[in-house]
Amino acid sequence: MISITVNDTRHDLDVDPDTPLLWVIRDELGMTGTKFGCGVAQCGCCTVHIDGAATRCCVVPVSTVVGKHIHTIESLSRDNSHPVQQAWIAEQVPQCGYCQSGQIMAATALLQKIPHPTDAEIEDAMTNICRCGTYDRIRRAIHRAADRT
Amino acid sequence: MNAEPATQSRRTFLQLTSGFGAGLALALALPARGARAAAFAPNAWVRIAPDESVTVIVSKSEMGQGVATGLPTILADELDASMDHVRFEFAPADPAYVDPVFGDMVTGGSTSVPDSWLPLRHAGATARAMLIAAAAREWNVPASECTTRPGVVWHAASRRSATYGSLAAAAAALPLPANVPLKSPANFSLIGKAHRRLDTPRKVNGSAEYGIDVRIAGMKYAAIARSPVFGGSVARFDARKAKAVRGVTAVLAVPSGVAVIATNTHAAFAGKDALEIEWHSGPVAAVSTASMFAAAERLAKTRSGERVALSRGEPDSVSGRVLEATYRGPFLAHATMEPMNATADVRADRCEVWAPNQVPLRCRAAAAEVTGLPLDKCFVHTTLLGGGFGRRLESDYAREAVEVSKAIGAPVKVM
Repeated sequence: MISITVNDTRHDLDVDPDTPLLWVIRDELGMTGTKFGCGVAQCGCCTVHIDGAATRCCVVPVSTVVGKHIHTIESLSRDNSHPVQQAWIAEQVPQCGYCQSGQIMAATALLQKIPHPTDAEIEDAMTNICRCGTYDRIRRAIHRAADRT
Repeated sequence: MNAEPATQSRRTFLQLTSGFGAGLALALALPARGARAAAFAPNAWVRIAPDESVTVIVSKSEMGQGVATGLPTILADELDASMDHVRFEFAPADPAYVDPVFGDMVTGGSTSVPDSWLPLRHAGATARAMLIAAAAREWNVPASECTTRPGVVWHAASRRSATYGSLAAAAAALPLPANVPLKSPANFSLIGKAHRRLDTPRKVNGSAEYGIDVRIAGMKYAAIARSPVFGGSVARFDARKAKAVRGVTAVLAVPSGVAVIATNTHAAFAGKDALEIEWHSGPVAAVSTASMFAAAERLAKTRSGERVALSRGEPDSVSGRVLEATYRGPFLAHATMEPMNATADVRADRCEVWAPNQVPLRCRAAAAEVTGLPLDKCFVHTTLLGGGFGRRLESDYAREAVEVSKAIGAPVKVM
């Protein structure tokens, strides 16, 4: 039995300890906002926060996050009231939207670390891939969210 | 996950061919039964409910290009609806939604707006005329004296108004009018303006449902090991190590390779990795980007197979500077962010498929072919797509899901 804390709720799970956190979140906990893209921590679709740090959880064994605080896209708000969600709506960022949970989680972690990032700091931190090419709007949304927080 | 059968597909459709365009068919549905009975659904494209919601049925796949907002906007403009009330729903795989130009349900080639333009405008204009007729009848005034404001029928002389939602039930009982005139483009109120995308809110909080997010009660997870080259096939495989992976419940040969079925995705992937497979490489194993470039260059030096793509004026008699260029593109993966996937639930008498796809009817045809069920017992739910780029103009992923579900007798998500 493995106990993990996701979105401030503790879950006791009977899973293979090698299971990537992503599949525990999606298959076992049924929270599908965190996406599977490349499976090798390159695209960033699966970004969640582990103790506040943006982490690509498709390669993180669940056994390594016991005792840590995990937060997923579902933790921001269901009613889109979080400033980053608001900024994403105001700038109309998503196109296909598949990468956006990961983008938003990466942006949220960035803003927690650097409340008013420069363009260069945004480009350094935001390395998630968007196949639709929404990078410009992502940058504008991060600046907008920075002004609101 | 809602696993009830697609209501739309069960309706009886009357195909009325209107007298404009190239074979344009406006499909008209009989009123829906049950919970939707109070709603006004004058055609296959729109449903107006007593709560004022205007649900536009989107027959094109949303893969980022914005059809789930753009197409409803077209209908809403002719209907004179308020965008705040507009919702969207993806169409079932049903001939009622065939694209008039493609002759199939297809999303591709930047054609969604031009091909949907007239059907959606007519559907909206017809619904508006019926709402006006319902109000005029209730007020006992000529319909010609009534007009609309967004979401409301209005009779100026008596200063009476009624919302679309309040008129829905009455409008649903009226006969369908023919040849309802369309707006003059000068009077468009929504078309040509920027609107917030209807799919944004669900895409910023994780609730948007892509194919990979579909969850069915009792669902298994499967991963298929496919030939590393096109046209290859399995010579032999050893499943012992795969079957030893915790969570793996079955390993079976399928037409495209070897499927590992498990109780979760991780086990399916781990089981796939543990398979030992020997492949027949097939007839095109030696083809590469380099060999395709070489073949193209060889062909370019001959006139064999030459075709004129475009000829305008008299190019041979024109003098001046000659510009020559050679363009080449490598063989590329489509690289959608959402990997190919589909979920299928094959039963003795019906088959349901959930798939992020650009070709719902082809997915349905694949399901019917694999199961042997009639087409009207096969239902395809098109989800949001995490990118398409033409890769999802194929239906292989839907076929694989149906094959595996049929083989194991349980619903399954296949990746």
